[in-house]
Amino acid sequence: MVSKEYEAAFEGIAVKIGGKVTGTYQGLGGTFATFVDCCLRKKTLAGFHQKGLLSRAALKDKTLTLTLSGNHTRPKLIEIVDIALQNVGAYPHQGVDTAFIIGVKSEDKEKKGR
Amino acid sequence: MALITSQQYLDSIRKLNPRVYIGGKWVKNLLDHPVTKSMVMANAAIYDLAQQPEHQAVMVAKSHLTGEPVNRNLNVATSIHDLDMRQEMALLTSQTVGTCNYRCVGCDALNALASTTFEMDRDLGTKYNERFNKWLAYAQKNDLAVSGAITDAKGDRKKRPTQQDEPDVFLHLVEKRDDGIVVRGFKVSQSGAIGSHETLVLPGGGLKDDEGGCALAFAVQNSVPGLSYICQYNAYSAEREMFGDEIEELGNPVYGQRETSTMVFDNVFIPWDRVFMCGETKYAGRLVSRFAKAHRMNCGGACKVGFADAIIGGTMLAAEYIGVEKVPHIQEKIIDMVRLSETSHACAIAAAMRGREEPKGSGVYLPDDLFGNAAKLNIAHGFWEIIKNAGDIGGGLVVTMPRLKDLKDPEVGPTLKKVFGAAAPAEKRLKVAKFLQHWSAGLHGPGTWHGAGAPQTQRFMFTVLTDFEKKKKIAKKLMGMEDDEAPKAAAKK
Repeated sequence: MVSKEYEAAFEGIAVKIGGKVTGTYQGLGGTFATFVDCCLRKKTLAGFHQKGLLSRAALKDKTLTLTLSGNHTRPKLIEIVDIALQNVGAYPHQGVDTAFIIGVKSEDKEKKGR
Repeated sequence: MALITSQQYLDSIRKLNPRVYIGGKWVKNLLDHPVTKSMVMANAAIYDLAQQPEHQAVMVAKSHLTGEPVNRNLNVATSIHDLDMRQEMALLTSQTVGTCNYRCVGCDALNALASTTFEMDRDLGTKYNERFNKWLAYAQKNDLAVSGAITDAKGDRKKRPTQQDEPDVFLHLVEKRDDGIVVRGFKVSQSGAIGSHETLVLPGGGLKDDEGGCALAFAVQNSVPGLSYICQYNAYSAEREMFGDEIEELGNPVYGQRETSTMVFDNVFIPWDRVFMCGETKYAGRLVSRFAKAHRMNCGGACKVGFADAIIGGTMLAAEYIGVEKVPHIQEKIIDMVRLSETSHACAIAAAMRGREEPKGSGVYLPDDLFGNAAKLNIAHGFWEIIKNAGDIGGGLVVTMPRLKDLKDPEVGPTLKKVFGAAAPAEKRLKVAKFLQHWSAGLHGPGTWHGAGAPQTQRFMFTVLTDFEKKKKIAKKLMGMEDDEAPKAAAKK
């Protein structure tokens, strides 16, 4: 257990796919900012070095919406974001208050849905 | 989850995908490449030690932040006992893996940060110590493997950081933003960051007032975009690659040589919660010297002593296998090896026992500077003597031996068994010869010389820390020179 004083320094991040929360993570303060910086400035996901995986990224308030190129199943999207979050130091954590949201979708599915 | 198992560590590493280059290739998974795997397996073994009841007194400490049990690699020393157990941990880990405890530099870096951020907050009203403690609580909670990066590439040594033609030879600030900083540059000779969850980055040395851009200390995650690792590559890397899964052919089969890399920071973002120094040049030298005094005790006086234990053991076996273990000059050389290593260990124990709170009020204990430097300087020279004796007693076979698996070759194997069979079978002789080759013809000689600072830095510290005038006074008093009349007075009585 970590005392409440230090728990308050951690931030919770929820991952949403198709509007539903698929996982919650906890990292040190600034973890969401790091993730956002990877996506917006570096245009990549941490832990993924191939170019073009991240098609679009948009930040609105405390929600980051990502569109990944290609056609990915829901389990694959969950896996990709899980790896990307762990590569910036956010670890799976149940029952955490989530101040930040990462929404993820697949580009091809988005096109088909139009 | 304050203490994780080696399996949990390995599972977490499988999910990390740092940008790692080694010997002409980009590594896709650290556990799939034989060289990077050896580094990861060494870290895994350190996690195992903390799970073993017989080692918990050394490997597990009580967090000064939360009171919870934590791996000593993530502990801030708050007593003499903590310092003593810290150096014992360095001894134990070296005896266990025969290479780096890759969490060791991170441990000494975090102790230096605990001390110096306290001082900065006290003097400057900053919030670095508060931030650092939050980061440490997070690292302890997740039992993270944390390495340390100190040494800048430095470029032309005649020039200061701001005068360099290539500014990246000193890691430096690119941009300050509302949410953090962006940094750029290189850190070299870094041990084990590739397989660590985080790395603590400190300035490479003292800085002048106008060099604030290099006065940076922060924690960086393993795989953030913009951070790459270019690994060392040498004959031992090539050998490990060549043998692949046949690791029994190698001198240190599982844990390998010490693996380092050059860390390349290409405009890497660091959020403020991970920044522990940004521009405070006055404290940069102090931070590095506190790191150095901790590291010289542990690296010089304990880690290398653990290596020496392994080398002495291997050397004794080599002597036994050819039937010379009772020859007087062999025994004398082995005693010399023990003398050299145990003298350094004594210095480490003395450094711990004479440790003190620094600065007052911080609660952080650091080792005695003089004894820590003595430990390192002694082993820097002593290690060459130790491996010289290992090569001497091990014989020419240490470097002239064939491959181990040649003994199994249907054509030459039977001949080789006749050639190298002695007081023990050829298999044992060649195995121990390979082990001694790893030490005496490998990377550890220069590594021990330079690790924790080349000996010239310790010599400099001796000049600063030694009261030479006091020594002269002692001599004068005994001789009865000048106004010290003690001998005459004593004679009259």
